[in-house]
Amino acid sequence: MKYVIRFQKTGVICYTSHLDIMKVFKRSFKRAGIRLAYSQGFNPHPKMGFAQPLSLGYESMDEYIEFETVDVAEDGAQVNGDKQMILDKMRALMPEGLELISIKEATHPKTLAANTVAADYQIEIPLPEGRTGSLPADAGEIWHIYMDRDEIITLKKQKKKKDLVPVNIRPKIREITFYLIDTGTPDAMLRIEACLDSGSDSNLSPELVITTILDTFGMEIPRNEISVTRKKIHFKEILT
Amino acid sequence: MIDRELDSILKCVEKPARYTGGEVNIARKDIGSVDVRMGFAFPDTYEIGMSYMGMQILYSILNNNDRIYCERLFAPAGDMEKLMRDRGRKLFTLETFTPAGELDLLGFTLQYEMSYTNVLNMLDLAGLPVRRSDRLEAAARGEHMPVILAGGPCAFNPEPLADFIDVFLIGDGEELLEKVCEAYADAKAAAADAAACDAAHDVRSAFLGKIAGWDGVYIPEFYEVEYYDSEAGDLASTVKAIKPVHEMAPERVIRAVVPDIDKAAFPTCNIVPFIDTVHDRSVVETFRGCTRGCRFCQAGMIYRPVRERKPETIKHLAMEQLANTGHEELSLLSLSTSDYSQFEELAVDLMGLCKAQNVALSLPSLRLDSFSFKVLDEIQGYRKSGLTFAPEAGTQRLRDVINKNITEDDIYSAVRQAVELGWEHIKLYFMIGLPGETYEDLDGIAEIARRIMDINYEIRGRKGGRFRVTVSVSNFVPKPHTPFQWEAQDRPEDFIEKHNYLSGKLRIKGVTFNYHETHTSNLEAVFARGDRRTGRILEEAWKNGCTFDAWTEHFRPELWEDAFARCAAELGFADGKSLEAFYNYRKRREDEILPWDHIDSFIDRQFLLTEKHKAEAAQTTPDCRLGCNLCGVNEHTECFV
Repeated sequence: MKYVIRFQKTGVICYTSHLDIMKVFKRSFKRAGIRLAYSQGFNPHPKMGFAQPLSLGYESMDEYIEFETVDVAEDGAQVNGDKQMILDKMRALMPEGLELISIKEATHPKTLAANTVAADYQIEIPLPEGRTGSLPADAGEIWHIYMDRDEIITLKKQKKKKDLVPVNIRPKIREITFYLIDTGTPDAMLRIEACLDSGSDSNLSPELVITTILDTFGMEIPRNEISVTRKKIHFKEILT
Repeated sequence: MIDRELDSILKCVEKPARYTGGEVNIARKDIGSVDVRMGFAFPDTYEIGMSYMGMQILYSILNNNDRIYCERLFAPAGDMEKLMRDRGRKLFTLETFTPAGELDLLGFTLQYEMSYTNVLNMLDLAGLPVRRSDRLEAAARGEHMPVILAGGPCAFNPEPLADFIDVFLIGDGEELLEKVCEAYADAKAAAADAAACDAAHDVRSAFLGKIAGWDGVYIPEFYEVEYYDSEAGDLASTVKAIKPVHEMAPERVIRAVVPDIDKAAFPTCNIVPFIDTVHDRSVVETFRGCTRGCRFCQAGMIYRPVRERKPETIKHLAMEQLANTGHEELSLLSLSTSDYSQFEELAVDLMGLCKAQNVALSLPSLRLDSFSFKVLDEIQGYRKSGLTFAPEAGTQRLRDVINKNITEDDIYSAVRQAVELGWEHIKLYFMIGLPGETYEDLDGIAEIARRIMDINYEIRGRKGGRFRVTVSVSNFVPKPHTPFQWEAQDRPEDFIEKHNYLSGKLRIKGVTFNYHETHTSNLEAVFARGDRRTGRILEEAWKNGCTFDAWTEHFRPELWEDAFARCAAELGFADGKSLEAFYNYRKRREDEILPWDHIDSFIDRQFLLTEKHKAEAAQTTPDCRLGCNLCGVNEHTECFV
């Protein structure tokens, strides 16, 4: 049987990478005694995968893992139990910060990754006095300056060659909204809600959105003070 | 909890999960409910420390005790250290992010000498003075100072760290460490009852008074060391006497021993790290000790006698661990896997259990007989890793000197089988600089590599396929409590010359030659056999900025050289070179008092001397399973339990 579990990744666990979280799930299935289907070949591995990688340090409110179970043992006995039992067993074993929301039987063609088209992100940039450059005091004006152009060019590392090439990210931003919060206080921040292309056809990393916003307004905010949360993943099919 | 400041630090460092804790199976306790809080510190990075089984064993024992909370600490990497220092963030535990300085006890495990500067650095990062005397002064001013403990194999010569550590725990830790923690809890409770005004100081004295005299407890401040002056001829500057100066301190500290390993606690609920570590797998210790008696090997001496776990216990522990961790690999831990008395039966059973669960079985340091081949062929299948041999020396004569019981015929017949079964990579381990070594022995190393290549050509034909041989050479470091403890080490220039000679000789197609950095081997030897005064060199090197000396990329020989030079006069030597020569390049007299002579490892000095003399005559000593060789261990405890 194929299943999809929807989960959240918040708090300290966001410092554990995508690959390492995969290992946590793999081992949790083992600990829970849930039998997964294994790939064939010299190096068999369990059939499971995430919808989209999540960068180190990002939180997410909407993550998906799909996996395939083997529900009949060699002796013909039924193992694993129903989907609710699988979810309950897995929930009991998750480390702090990995919250399993729901489980459903998977009906989508191909993989979740192949079905991913876009994702919503929330980006929070603190606005300490004197380091905000030319950032306007009006959120609408921020939008116009940032979005009212045909091209937003930034440098992107190429996958293979590793050198930087200019790319236009404007067409990959599906929607973006800016909010100015608590202005005039030490907690002042710029909150950005953006829907960006995501997946194998067209993909835009929130990192490039952050860089271009900082560049556009000449803001001097260190990257480590900026937080990013993925709010939602959009799929081709209706999956949830 | 992780606060905002730590969070912003974590966003800037490599592998932040090294510092976040929260892993599967960690101990969670209510801090208010325990009587004593202990920090278990591994003086290297998280990835290395988390691969160390000893920590998992002790962590589980201590945390199974309701009175104790044991938490973990590791050495932060350079990037993290810099940010911590910049922001005044103190070294913290991974369980509760408690600053190390607030704990009751802070214990370091000493696995290798080259981690000693990290011990000092971690004390400093904890905000504690590195010297015990300075900590006592701070305590007298009313500051809380944790009692600093240290254990592990290097504690068998505790002297280089004697001025920094409060209590050394020597020998098996399973029972001792828990008792020590409880003794501290008792002392704390008593002090609270008495409501003493100078509580901090009282707890420490009461605690030390209570544990002094226990087997395995060495409290350096209770001993005084005297040295010969420069007039004493070839004994000049050596130890004249080591005397207890406290009524409770014994003349000699007897090592702690767990007589029955089968009944000893062993973890089944190991912590599973999130990030990749050196070894991230389930591990069961099959037996402790070794009967082979290799004369260079400290582990083979200080872990005697051989004590085995029953096969049922091993299988049970393995299955429990796999069930609780979800690990995809199981490995066995001992000094020599195939020497386990019921090895074949155990291996077959474990293979079956692992196969049923999609778990890979890894059996390190197998002796390569026909059974081992059958097992390896089955567990490695198509993905054959390299086969490893450790002849240690290039000729039979030198192997007899070191009592390494492996012949060239053993190697060649095993290689022949291996090639026929499809192995394509043979790894060979040798040591150079062994006592009595000549260049003929080095020629022997090249000869073995060449003969192995020839065997492959013979079987696979003129082209030989992708077959390769890796020759790894390490530099001999004489270790305390071994028959070679009196020997001189090769000088750096000798090692370099030998490395160059071997490089030439091993220019053979298909053979790769690796060797260990010379400088670290010489330093390792200083602190392996150093006396209390070498602590000064360590301290100077650390002040110069030396940390992570075991890491080639962080090792700074020039800073060490400077430390030696600066300590020379203080320690009564003309210069840094002669200081190093005194500790390393000098053969000790057999009647010399060695800096660790007050530590009783159960191995008779007379046995070590006899072995030394037999080495000089290239005579071997048989495996002690075949008959007692009178090493002295069985006067204290039973062998082959």
